[in-house]
Amino acid sequence: MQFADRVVVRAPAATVWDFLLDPRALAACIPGAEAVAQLDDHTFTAAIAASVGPISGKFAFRAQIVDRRPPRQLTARVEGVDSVTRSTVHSDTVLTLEPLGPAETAVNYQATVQIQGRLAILGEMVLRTTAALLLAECARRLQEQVAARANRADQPGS
Amino acid sequence: MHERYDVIIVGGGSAGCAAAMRLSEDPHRRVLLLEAGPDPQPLPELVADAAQQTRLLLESPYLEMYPTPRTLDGSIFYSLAGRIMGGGSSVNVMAAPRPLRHDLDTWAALGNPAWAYERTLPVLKRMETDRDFPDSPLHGRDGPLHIERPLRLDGPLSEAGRAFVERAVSMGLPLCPDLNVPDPLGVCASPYTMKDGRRQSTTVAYLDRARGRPNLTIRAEAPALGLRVEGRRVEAVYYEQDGVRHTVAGDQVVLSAGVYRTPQLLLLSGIGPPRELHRLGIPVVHPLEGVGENYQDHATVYLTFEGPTHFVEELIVPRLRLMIKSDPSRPCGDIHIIPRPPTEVAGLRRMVPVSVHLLEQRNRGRVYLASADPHAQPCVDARLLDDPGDVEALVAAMRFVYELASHPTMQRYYGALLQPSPREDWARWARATHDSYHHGVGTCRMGPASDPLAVVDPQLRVHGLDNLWVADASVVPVVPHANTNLTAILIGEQLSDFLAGRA
Repeated sequence: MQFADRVVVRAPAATVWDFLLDPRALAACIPGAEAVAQLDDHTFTAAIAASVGPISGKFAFRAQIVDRRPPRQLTARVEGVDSVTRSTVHSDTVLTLEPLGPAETAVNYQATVQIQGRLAILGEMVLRTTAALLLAECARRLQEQVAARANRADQPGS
Repeated sequence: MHERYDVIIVGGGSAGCAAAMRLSEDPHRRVLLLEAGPDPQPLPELVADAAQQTRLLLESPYLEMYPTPRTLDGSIFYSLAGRIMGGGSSVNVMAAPRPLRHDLDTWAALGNPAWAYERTLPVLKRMETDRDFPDSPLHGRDGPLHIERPLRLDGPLSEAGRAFVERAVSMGLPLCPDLNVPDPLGVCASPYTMKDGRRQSTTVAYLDRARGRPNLTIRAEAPALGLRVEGRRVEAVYYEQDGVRHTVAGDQVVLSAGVYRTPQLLLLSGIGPPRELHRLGIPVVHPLEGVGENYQDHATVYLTFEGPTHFVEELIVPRLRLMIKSDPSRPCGDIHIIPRPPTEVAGLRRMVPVSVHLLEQRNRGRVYLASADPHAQPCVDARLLDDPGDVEALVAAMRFVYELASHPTMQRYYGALLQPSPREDWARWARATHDSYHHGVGTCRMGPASDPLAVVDPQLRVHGLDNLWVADASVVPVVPHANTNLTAILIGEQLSDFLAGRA
């Protein structure tokens, strides 16, 4: 499955770049992420709870920045396993920054999501929308939190 | 000298189990049933308990997944088959709609008169015990297969269910209390192969009645490898069990291995299109152009709406189904619409899908082999939504669902449309994201000798061979406007009549 979209963030490109390289900040952009643990400077693990009709499960994953081309592009990889079917999900998201002005940056993202295993049967019914909503919500939080960080940086005395 | 039977049935699926039970009713007929998958006894609860159907699909080892590319971009969905005694009937969602009168009469018009609706109805009746309509002249009351409708239009309906029904009626749909009338249309109560919450697979409904018969031999985890054909006769069936290759002979041999494995077995045996056989390095034993061709399935897409803030348990009403015409000029209902249960992911808005299923395919796909290895999966090239007419029909039905769900009376249950976006190109979206309704048929189509792509004759005997039959969904010439399990069981029943000389 492929997804692509763009959000505009009220912050300079350098602030957005720094934010994206901060695993804790990035983890905070993932809705519903539990048990977030930072493994190193560019890796963290977490889990998301989900239920489909009568079945509930957890999706445990590891997120890592696997490629960085400062100051404009990086690739984040998410690899996880669902607790019910032991299916694996692998996604690569390429984020490209595009300065629109001194305090405004467009973040373009292109994500490829691959599912191996039985979960793929439900792919089109629930996973496509879930992935799209998850990415959109991440983008929204990124927008909000980067702007807040930029705002703090602008405050005198900070 | 090989072990010998009167009848060998290769494949204990929906059709194979029905045929094995019927054909072994005559104690003088010695029947061997070979099944590639296991035959667990007693049945695990995951299979037997109807309430666990989603877990069964997600967790059981009894499912075979065939990666199937979409034409538009090569992305993959999965065609499915059961690999357990009972085949699809042991793993499916138990939906039991019959083929329509229009479907069976279409098959008859293609040169298969024994399949006309009026001639087939007595067989459809003898198959079933219909709990809800035992006195209807359309239904059976003492057949092996128990059919019931967990949700009845004249029974109590939840508030959400009632809103859904009333909205559909306000859009001009009639009420259809029985989906198994000859020409169903409207808001339908769906029939299921269930009894008191237990799955009525063909293992339970048919085979269990015959297991004690001394003239019926059942071998599970015994996949067939191919046939030896000499002249016009199948002289041997090869199969494998516990890693050992076996040879067995039968006066009559029936392939019921399903829409993917049956054409594979024919091809491995040198029966098929010569060009394909040459490509695979298999000597041509009996040329038949239609083997693997004529594949058809039903395309499915999901419209996903934002769900209500409060959980509405009753919204889970997949027992309710709409059958509509994508265009008033269509000869019969060509679309199923089914409300689906909500999905909840922490931190995200609740998602409620409605599925839309196109019940026909104007073009044809195919099943072919990548190699002559009998253990390799056959390849499925479904080519769903390649035909502009199919895309147009599906998009019309998507618009119908959007209109249905966007009405003020439905806002408590269905919020904004999340996917596809109301602004995007729905035709392209459907071609890029469609899934299967899992009703693949047609890869050994039935037809008269004058039909160059017919593999079997109207009595299911392979053209040009004296003692080989095919009995499963492969023989279907045109995919019915219905879920296909009852059609497959009907084919097993018909075969037993043809073989026994009763029809």
